[in-house]
Amino acid sequence: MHGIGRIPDEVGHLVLSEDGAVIASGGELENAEQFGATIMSLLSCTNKTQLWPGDSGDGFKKISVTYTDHSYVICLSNKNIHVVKRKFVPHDPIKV
Amino acid sequence: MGCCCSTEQENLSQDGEVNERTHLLSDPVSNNYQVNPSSNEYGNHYSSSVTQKSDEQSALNRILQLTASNIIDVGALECHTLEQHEYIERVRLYNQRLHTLASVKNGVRSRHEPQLLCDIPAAERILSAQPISSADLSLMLTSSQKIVTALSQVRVEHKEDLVVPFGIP
Repeated sequence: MHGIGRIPDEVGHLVLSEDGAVIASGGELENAEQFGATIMSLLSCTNKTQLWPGDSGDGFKKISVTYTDHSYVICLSNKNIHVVKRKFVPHDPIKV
Repeated sequence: MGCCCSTEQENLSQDGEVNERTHLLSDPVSNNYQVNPSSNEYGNHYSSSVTQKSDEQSALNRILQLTASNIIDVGALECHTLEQHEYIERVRLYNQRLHTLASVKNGVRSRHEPQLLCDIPAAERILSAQPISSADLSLMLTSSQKIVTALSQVRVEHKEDLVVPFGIP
C-alpha cells in the first residue's frame, strides 16, 4: 500500500474495496467512511458508455476531482479503489 | 318474348323483377341534368340554382368529411379495456422480460463493479501523474460555464395558439 510521501503533494489517501468498504486510509482521509460512500456513489452514477460513447475500450484509467487548492484522484487497481487527496499545484504546459 | 332488337315492352320488368333487361345502375343524376336544356329561361335559372345549391352542399359535405378524417378526436376514442386473462398474461410477460433484463444487468455489474474505471496494474504511477495544467482547467471551466449559460437561454417560443377553435364560425 502506498503512504504519504510516495505520491507528490499527497495529503491523504483511502483504499476501498469494490463494495465500498474501507481497507486502508491515512492522512486527511483517515477513516473517512462518509467520503468513501461519496466516492462510491460518484463511480456508480454513470458508466463509461454514457460519457464516452462509440469507444469499445475499457473504462477510464483515473478520475480527477479538482478544486482550487486540492484535488482527489481516483483509480481502480487490483480490484481496489484508490483515492488520493493531493494539494493542487497547477503547472503550465511546457512550451516548445 | 322478343329478339335482341325487340321494342316490345316486357311486362315482367315492370314488376320490379330482376331479369336481363333491368338496369344495373340507376341513373338519377343524368335525369336531373337533362332537364336543363329543354326548359325555358325561368325554369333554367331555377333548376340551375337548385343544382348550384346541391353542389355547394356536397362541397361543404366534402370539406366536413375531409376535416373529420384529419382530426383525431381523443375524447371519442373508445378505450380498450383489458380482459382479466389478458391482463394476467401481460403481467407474466412483463415480469419475464424484467427478470431477464435484471439478470443480464447483474451479470455485467458483477464483472466490473465500477464501470467507470478500468483495473490498472500500477496505481501509484497513475496517481502520482502530474495534475491537469491550469490552461486546460481554465478552458474546461470557461467552456462549461458557456454551456450552462447557453442552456439557460434555451426556451420555447410559442407563436400559435395551442388550442384552435374548429368549425365554429
